[in-house]
Amino acid sequence: MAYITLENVCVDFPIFDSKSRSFRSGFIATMIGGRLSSPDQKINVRALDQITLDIRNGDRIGLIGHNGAGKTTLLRTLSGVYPPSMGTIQIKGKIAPLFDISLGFDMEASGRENILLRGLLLGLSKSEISNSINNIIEFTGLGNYLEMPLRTYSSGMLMRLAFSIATEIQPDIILMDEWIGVGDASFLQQAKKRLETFIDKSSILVLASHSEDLIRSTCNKAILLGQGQVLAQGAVDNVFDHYNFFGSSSFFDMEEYISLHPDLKESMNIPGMAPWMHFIKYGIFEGRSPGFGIELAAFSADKVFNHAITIGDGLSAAERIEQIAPFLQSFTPPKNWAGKQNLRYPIDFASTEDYPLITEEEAKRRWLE
Amino acid sequence: MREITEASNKRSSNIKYILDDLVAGFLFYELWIRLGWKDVLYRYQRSLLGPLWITISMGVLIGALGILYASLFKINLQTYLPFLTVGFVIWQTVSGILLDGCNSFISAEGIIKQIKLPLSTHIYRLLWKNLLTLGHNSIVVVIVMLYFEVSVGLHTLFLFFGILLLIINGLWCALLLGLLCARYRDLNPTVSSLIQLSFFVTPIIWDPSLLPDRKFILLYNPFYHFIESIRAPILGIEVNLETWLILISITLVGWCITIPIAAKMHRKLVYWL
Repeated sequence: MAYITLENVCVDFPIFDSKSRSFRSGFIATMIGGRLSSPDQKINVRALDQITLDIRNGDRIGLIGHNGAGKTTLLRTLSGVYPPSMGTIQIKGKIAPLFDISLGFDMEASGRENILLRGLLLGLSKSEISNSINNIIEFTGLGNYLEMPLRTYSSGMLMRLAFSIATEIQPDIILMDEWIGVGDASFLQQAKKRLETFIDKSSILVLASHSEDLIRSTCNKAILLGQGQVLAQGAVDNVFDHYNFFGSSSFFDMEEYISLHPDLKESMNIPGMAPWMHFIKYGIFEGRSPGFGIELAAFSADKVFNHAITIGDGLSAAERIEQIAPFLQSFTPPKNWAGKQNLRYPIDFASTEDYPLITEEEAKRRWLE
Repeated sequence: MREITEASNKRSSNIKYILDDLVAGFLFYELWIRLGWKDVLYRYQRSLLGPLWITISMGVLIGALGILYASLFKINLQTYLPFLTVGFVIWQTVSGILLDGCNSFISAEGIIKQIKLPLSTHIYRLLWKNLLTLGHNSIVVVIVMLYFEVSVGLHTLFLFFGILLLIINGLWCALLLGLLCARYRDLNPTVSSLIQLSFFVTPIIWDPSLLPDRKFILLYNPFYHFIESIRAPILGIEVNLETWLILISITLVGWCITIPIAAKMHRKLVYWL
């Protein structure tokens, strides 16, 4: 039984400049009494923030999110490369990290020698490798080329070799950063089949990709990451709809929506129903708060919002909320919330005494600093 | 294939982590033996003689230096050349381990950022590389010994004790330097220049009997003791008890310093690369 459990995992990257990285700064400080040199200030960038995940046998997880959302960092944390600065990770099962499948290749050595080298790096023993070396060699289709040094290979041949080794071992957990590409078209079909069986045999797959089609066809669950946090997780369709509608710095939190409205728990069991969908279809008409301190009563006097509600257009109404919400004083921005680049103060929005607006400058200060 | 069960990052468990790491890394011997050998071959790729060049260049260097300094110091070549050869070859190993130690993790960045391996695997790899180089160089030692008919006896076996101590100490030195140099990038050139300096302060090309009234230079020089513990048995001289005691103390103190530091630093290493 393979599993991965993450509990409040944070990963911080220390940022060094040459100053804090050398001991010169410390040394000089002691020499001159520390007056000129400012104290060594540690700057950390939080790449993963309080990630809690529970991945079980049979899960095929797609990681989605913008560049820099934390997908690769999360994968590397799962592979054990990045020890978390806080929180706990528990991983049971043999892991195959397929980030750079040609890692450790020695260009001067023969293909056969490189199979051995790569296998040893993956933690196999020599005898395990010699058991499966014939399968690998057969699948590469490189024949006598395997006795030649790698520097004589074309890039397509290198990919074939790397691919064949990577998919020969049978891990419990596969971690993949983008789909592994393979060489020429004739090899593509064979490779596709081999990769599919390779993945089918594993218990857990975590795949980070920008390709929606790929994740929809391969995965049965998805996790949306934004600024190192889990913004949404669940069925692939739901998460993608959430991502496509709200983007990756959304103020709509599916979990908060459910916890604010406990009576919705049952309606969530309807197939195809997701919290965000419920909100746009029903919640917004019933005056339910989407969370983050947004009360729909603030929009009671707004013409745009009311018009959308009158004609039954939940989507437009939600778009209006998204536009205005950052300026509502009652709005509490999600942690790590990034405001839109060019904020426009909503001049056509009439704020009431109960729900005052803040200024554009105040809004900027609140979440851009 | 390995399984990872990462527990919490409690401080108390970190010392145990390092000790487990040293064992787990050793068990990857199939990997580090191969990588270490590749590191040796790397410099001599596509050359006809391959790593034999290590032996040849050492032989040429020793021959030239030996004849030059024997006439400069006006010493008998018969006693000087064996002394120089053994000292020089051991020095190469000592400085090789220290210099490679500084880069042990920096040069393995590609692997460390992709695959979770025990950290000590990289240390064993560089130790093995330097031992292989020592093996190639010792051919020169054997030739010089045979040519000058240096006597071999039971006392010679003490050299293996010296080599063992060298390996055990090389392990902590490389681990400590590797971690510190990854964090403080200025340490690397500092160590290089200190090693260069130590070469002249340590009796390798000059005989310690040349300065009988300045014994302290020898006593407080750890390099001297490491070299003496291997050189003296080969040359048929008895090693001072002092030297053995100092070496054993260095070993104990070194490990007692390294383990807590490594326990504190190992989690952050990957972020420094």
